[in-house]
Amino acid sequence: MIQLKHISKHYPVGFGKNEVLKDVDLTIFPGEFVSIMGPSGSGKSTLLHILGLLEEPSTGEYLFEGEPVQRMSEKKRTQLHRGSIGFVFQAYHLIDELTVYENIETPLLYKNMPASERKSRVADVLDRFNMVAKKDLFPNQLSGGQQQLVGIARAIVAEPRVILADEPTGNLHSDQARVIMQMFKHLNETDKITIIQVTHSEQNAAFGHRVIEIRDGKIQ
Amino acid sequence: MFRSYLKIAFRHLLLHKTITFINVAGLAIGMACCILIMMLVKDELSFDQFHANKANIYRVNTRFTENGKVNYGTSSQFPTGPAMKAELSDVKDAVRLYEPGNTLFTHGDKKFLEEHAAFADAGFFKMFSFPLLTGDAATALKEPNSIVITESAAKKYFGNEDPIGKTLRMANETDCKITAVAKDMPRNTDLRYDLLISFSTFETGNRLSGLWMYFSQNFTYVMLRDKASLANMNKTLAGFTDLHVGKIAKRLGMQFSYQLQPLTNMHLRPGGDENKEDRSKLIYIYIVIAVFLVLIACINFMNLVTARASERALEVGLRKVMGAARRTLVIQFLMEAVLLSLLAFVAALVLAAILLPAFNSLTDKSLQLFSWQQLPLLGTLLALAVFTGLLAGSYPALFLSGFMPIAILKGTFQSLRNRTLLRKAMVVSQFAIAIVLIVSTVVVYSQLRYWREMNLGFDKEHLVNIYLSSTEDVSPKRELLKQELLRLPAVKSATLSNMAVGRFIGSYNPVAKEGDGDDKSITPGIITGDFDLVKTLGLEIIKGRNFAADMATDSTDAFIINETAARKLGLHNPLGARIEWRPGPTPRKGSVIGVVKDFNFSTLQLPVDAVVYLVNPQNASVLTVRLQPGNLPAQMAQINKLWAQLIPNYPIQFSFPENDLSEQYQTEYRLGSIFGVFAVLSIFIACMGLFGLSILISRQRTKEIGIRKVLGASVGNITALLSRDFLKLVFVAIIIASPLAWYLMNQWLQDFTYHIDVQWWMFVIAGLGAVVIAMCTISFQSVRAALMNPVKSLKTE
Repeated sequence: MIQLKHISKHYPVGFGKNEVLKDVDLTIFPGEFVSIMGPSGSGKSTLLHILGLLEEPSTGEYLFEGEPVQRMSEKKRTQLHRGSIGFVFQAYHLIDELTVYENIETPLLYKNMPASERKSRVADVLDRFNMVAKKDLFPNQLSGGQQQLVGIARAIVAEPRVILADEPTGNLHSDQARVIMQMFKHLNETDKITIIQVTHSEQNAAFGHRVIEIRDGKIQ
Repeated sequence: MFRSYLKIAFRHLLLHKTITFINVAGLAIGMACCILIMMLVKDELSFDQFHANKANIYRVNTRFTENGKVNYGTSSQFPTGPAMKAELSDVKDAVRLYEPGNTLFTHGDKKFLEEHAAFADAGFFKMFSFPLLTGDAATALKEPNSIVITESAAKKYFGNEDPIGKTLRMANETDCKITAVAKDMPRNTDLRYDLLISFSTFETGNRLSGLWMYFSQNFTYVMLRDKASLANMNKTLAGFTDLHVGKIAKRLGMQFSYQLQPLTNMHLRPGGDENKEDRSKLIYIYIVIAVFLVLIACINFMNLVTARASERALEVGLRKVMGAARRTLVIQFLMEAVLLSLLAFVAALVLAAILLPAFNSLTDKSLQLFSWQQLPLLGTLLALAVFTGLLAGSYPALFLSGFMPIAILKGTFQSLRNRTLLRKAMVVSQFAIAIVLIVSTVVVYSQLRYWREMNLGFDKEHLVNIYLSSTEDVSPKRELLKQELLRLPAVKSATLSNMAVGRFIGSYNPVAKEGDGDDKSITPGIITGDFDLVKTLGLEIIKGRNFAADMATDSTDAFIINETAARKLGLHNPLGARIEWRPGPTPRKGSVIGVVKDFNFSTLQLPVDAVVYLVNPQNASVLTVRLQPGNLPAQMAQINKLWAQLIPNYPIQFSFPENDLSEQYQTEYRLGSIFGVFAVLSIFIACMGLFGLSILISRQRTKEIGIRKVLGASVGNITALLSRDFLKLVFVAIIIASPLAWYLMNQWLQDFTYHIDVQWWMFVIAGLGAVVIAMCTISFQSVRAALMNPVKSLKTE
């Protein structure tokens, strides 16, 4: 599903450069649940951003479902964001001015889905996440755990094949974190969604099938 | 999708009510002002532009040069018009309009003093495009004793009856037959009359109408043939002038010429094309102010929208991650900004409609906002509103949406810092302009106060001028009226003369030292009055004595002159000097018995002219009364009652010199009010710019503020820290604005003979005002930033 070949990433610093990722090779198969772990500054977030097409690698080749990403047009990438990739953020990143319902609906709007279908999809997701009662609340009226559930609901509503989660439980306490992780596990097992998460916590990493250790920009 | 945008836009606007309000209000006020000012400008530029023959019509103006001094006039002699028509081949027609001033018209028991009445030549309705409702344009003003009245005048005198063929009695002397009814003349003409009497009515048996050196309120308009060239016309005019006026002008020691002024220039150059008074300057100032206000408002609007858009960077990033194409984001932000600017446009219309009555009374107009004539203006502003919205939205739309989302989500998004320099420059220039306007307002009002409090050389308080018409009803009763008035307890003294102090002196004639040639004569104002003039007006005699009734020669060969006349005549020792007054072929000779201190008998905008005063109340047209200080309405009621008893057939006409004088600086007063209003508005708009900047900067420094608070800074410390930078900008504005304001106002003051100097304290007032207002604006945001919980501001990092 995802194939990285000799991926490097560096940022210019003064006259030199700061190498964040060094010659990374990685293959992730459909239906996998992968956890990326590593200390601060090891390059794990950058790796996730590259996987999510939010950043471009400096060198190397990235194949998404067999297609080389570097050669994709802006349009094609937008298509991938609309349909294939879902994101979950540490800071939830919900849109403050929209209700829970509207936040979840947004990705569907960008897919130009007809209203009736949108409605049933969002209702479906709300139901699954037990959030029907909260659908008209605004993000700031929810607890952190609830906000993250909305974040995940938003990520899966467009039925992506991959979810990329950047420390999804980093701002939550352990009880809430467990709920979120179980949700991921459930999505992975029943919906066959590929999940790639970045995490600090051994416990959370244990929910996945495979742990990728990264240190100083290199996969161990 | 569309609905989602609208929804998010409205929630945004509602969530930040204050900022939305300020933003919409700022643009709306700017646009409302622009609407009002441009309506005024359009109206001013439309004066007398509706005449079909406008390209060929000229007013005959005059120019006198005497002792190197040039004077311009807009009135011309009575014979000028007919002579031009008869002798100059390029002149197709000539029309004279003689305005006799307030004239009494009666029909049955209906009696009105008409201000807008004039004698007009037969060609009037053919030359000017004033449509007649009934009657024949070619013949209506042909016969003597014909009169054309407007629709509303007809209603006033005759109600719903058909006025054609009925008569109106003019000045209780002449019956005029109504030959036509004209449509009411539009407001945008300077030829606005309610009643027009055939010129032949005036001319018949009037010796004045043949004089070539007699100037009254008679205006001559000529219509040239289509092919006539102005250059050619001016050449033939020189010969014409020489033939008719050359000799007499030479005898008076002056050069005289005619000048043709296009009808279309008349409104903006009321004193003639070469005269100093130029209203188009004011029009330019208005246009500059209108454009400035609307542009600054637009720029501020954009600044506020973009400043607030940086808050939405996160939203943009998220939407991109969720698959929003750049195009859809662009549409969203553009739509939002356009929505806001359209809201402002609607608010501007409402505001303009609300302010219009006040604006109309300030400018003495009757402008209408919702008429098809304003469509181009409103259309332009609507387009400007949409354009402003698009431009304001384009920054977040194009700039933010072009970013890699990760830069925004990671918070490494640092694009706004470098834009603050531009914003600072904007704030400085806005404040500079506001300060210039404040200083201007202060200077104009100080000048007005100076005029009001100036020593005029006579005591203007408690004076009344009663105007005496030369009709049979009034003239013979002058002396009786004076004596009866003096018996009223309210009246201190009274004098009959030909001078309405505060308005005019009745005649100007040549005066010279006895035996001097005509070329050495001067043309002072000649006051012919009784013995009580000096006492009643409170003039100060600085040399010699006043006229005395018991000195027989005082009534026949004595003069009192003012200081200026003494100087102009070159009398170093004026007392006893022999001078002669030359009103016609037979001069009156006499000795100077006294010199009065100069006094401003007419306008304060010109220096005091020479005046010669002699005893001769025969032609008195004004009875000037000095009242005891007291209840003015009650005193006037007594005077009115007395008049009605003595002269029942003619209504009393009077004015107060104090009011007459202040009316002379109406223009300056109006200018002061307009400057004042614009000063307030420009300060408001400048504060908007400052407000936008302070939001932006305090937001940029959120983290710094949080850290400082954790380290122990008080709210006061933080507020001072944030405010200091902004106050610097205001000080820079003061430094830039002060010399500019000084220069501009000095230029303005130079036009007046009696003027104040621009004082340092005026700048202090303007500067302090700006600083205080700016402080209030900034502290709103600074205090809020300073009060913020540091934990909150640091957590987001």
